Amino acid sequence: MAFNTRAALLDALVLSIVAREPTYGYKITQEVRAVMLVSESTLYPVLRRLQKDGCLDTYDQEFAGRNRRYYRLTEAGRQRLADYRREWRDYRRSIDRLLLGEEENA
Amino acid sequence: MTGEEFLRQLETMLADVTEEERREALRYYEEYLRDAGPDQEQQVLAELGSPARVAAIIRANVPGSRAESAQSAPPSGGQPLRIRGLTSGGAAYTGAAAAAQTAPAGGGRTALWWLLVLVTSPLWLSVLAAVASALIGVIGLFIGLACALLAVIVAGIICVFAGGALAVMSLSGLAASLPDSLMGLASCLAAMGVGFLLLAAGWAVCGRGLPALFRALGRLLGAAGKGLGNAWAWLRRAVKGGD
Repeated sequence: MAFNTRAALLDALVLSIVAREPTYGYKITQEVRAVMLVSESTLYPVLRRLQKDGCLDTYDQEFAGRNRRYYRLTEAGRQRLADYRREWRDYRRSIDRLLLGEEENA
Repeated sequence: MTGEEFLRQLETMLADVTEEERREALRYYEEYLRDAGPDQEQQVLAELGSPARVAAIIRANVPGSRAESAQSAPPSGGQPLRIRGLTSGGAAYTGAAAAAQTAPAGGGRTALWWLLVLVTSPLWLSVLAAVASALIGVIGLFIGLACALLAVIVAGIICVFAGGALAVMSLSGLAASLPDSLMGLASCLAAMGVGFLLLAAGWAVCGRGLPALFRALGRLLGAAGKGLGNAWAWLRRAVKGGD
């Protein structure tokens, strides 16, 4: 089960943030930190690893007289995100069953 | 510490990573501090921690970042996971502990997989046997057809040669008995004609029919292989989903 590690949860969150629209490192970090207690220095290795895995690529766009680096989802990233979303639903169901005593709805 | 000092120290701390990774990391943090803005700079620097800590996190978590070949970076840092709203301490665990927990689970899955393969062996072995015997039957059919074709061609060749030889023999007896010889000659020519017809038929089947037959066989084998592959993938998914 992928979500036994924090790395997988972070990957999934980053991919889904970037899937909405291409965006930059600081904004991605703030969005993740709104739901999860992670240090500011945690996100860079996640972004870099996803980029090296071919799930994200970057492009530079001018902003306020300088180039800002934007991350966007690749086709492989889209696929990975779909896998994470499917696994998350399974994971959430099993946690709900155990933690809340909820019955599984086929 | 100012942002510039932070970046300068970070560069020094990253002296042992590849040049590309150092450049990428510095570019990222330079931009990060700018996006945070001068008002937030001190807060962000405090949150980031020392340049040494930031460098250590990069070294440990970016695969292939070390200049000296060592590629075995752990999948996550040893920081505790806390989901907001669950900060009572009980919900914290480290990436290392989680990694240790997943290892035996992976082994268990493999064992379960093999057990399933073993338990269901009567089913898939018989399916496999049925598919194999059907394929062998089809191949046998094709070999039979090829043999029949070969026999037709050989018969044609024999007819042509026998007819020709008998015609020569009949001609040599022409003076003795004209009607008998003419009869013999006619039947010999008829035999040669049948022989040529058989050869032509064999040739036509070889030229057109055989390639078509083998293409059909190829398609059949391809479809069978694809079907088996799909069944295998489905089984794997079923096992993964059920785990």
